[in-house]
Amino acid sequence: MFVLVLALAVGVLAGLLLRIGIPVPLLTYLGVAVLAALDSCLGGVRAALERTFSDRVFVFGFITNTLMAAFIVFVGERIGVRELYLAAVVAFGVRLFNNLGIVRRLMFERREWE
Amino acid sequence: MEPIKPVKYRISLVVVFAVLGLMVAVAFNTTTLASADQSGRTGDLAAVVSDMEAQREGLTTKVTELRAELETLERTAAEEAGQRESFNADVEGTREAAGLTDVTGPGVIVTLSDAKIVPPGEDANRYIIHDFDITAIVNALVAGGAEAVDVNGQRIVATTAIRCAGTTVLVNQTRLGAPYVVTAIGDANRLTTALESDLVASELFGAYRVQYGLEVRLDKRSGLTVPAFAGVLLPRYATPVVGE
Amino acid sequence: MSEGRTKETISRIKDGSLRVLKESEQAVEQQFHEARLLVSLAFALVLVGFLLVAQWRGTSNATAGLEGRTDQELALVIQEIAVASEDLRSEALGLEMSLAQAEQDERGQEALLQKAKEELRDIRTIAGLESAIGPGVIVRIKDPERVLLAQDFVSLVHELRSAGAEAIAIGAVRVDALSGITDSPEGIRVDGSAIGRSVEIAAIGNSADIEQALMLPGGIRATLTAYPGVTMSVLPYPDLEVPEAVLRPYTLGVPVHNAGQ
Repeated sequence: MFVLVLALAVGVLAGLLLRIGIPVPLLTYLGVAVLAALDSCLGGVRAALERTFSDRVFVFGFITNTLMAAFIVFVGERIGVRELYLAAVVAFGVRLFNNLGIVRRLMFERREWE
Repeated sequence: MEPIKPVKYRISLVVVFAVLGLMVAVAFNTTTLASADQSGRTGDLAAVVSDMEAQREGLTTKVTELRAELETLERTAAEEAGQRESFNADVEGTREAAGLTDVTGPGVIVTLSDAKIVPPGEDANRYIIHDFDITAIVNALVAGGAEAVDVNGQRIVATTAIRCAGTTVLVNQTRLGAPYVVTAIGDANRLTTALESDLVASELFGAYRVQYGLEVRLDKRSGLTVPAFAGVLLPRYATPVVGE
Repeated sequence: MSEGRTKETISRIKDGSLRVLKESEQAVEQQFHEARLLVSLAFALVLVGFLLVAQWRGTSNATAGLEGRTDQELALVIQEIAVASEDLRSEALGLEMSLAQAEQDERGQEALLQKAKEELRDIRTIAGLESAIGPGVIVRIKDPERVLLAQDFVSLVHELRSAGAEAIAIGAVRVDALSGITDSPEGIRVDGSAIGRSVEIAAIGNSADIEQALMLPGGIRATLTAYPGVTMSVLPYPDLEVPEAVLRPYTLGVPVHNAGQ
């Protein structure tokens, strides 16, 4: 688990040090994509704890989730329902907390076993 | 109890977590950079505007200096022609009435500012101060006997147009930004009554302020100064009726 | 399943221009089911596609207009500043010429004084201290039902001024810097005198510019005539006379002369 936190920190640091930015209008895309990615990652952790983790499913899920989220924002923007991104935010948000809850429970259970 | 195949899943997890971190950082960078320079596409024209404004500032200073220089000469000429008194009276009377002198005295200050927050999904137009809000305030004040009025330092003279260019308010062809401070010299009580009885002004102070959170304030003060008009009063089409 | 129904089914599928091989009843039935699903799905997709494209087009047009507006706003600002700068430039030129003349000319002093007086008169004319004549427009507004408010006339005055009007009168009242337009039970009052259901507004200036500004789509004429019964006409006149304003001496304010003392 510690390695994962470290990886996250490395990513953040790299981003901050490289001072990469994107055009402002694309910010919503990235925001929703981040949410989707976060959801995937928690899902991955959950799967790992549940012993159902599969590399392929995880990586593929991460990519598709992220792209799909951005795509929903794109479609929403193009058809004039800019709030469509909220659908992605809500969906991923709910899943995120759901996964978080499961991960927490699994971790506690593991503790007790040990 | 460690999972049996730790290495295999960890590599993909680790990589993806790093990517996630990178995405978060990029989003963060973008939001901070965005606040640093908001001018994007319209940057070019905006630069043209500020250039022109600077140039105009220079012209205004030049004209003011030339006017002062010429006036000295004119006064000497008048003196030599034995018309000192009448000429001076003429100059001063005209300048005073045309708004070409500063005016000090008691009066009121009306401050108008856009609402701090526009609730999402609401029409932002209702939450900002428009040209007609300012014209309404100015009109109510002059109707209440104001002797001199300015908006953010722009003296209201007979040719002053207050208008909107989108979200920018122009007074005397000069761009102004919120807060709009309208200073009026006159009897503060009469001016207040005039604002209260004006349809638009009273709405601004009452319902609109409450409903939309527009910031509208009235202060009675003494020792106010309304600056002179800095532009040009030069008729191109109008001529005085001939004959004294 | 009856014979008749099978036939009916097949004919319906044929109608749908789908080729179906006549096999067992069950197979036909299932294929029909799939075909119907396919057709309705295809139909729905076509509809969705159409709507999506329509909406897509619509929003891209809308945003294009919005972007244009921002530039338009700035263009307007630039135009305004250009006008003001041009005024300043010609004033500076005039002043420089006067100065040069005063220094060179033998009879410079006298000419200078004469010129100064003329300029003062010009300022008084534009400030409303003297009646003015010149070309311009007459705006006739008829409001039989008294629906217009003082603010409508205030907007009109600012519209006229921004189009370059140099002297304005509503009815017989000169509108200067300190003219107030108020609502009253007897109708709209300009500096205290009521205007009727029909009023003429005279504005001296470039009549083409003024006319164009007032008649702009979405402009003041469009706004005012949208009210019930209100009509507004704008006619150019080569020769207008606009009266002088009432004198407004300072009582509480004190003018400060700070230049060229």
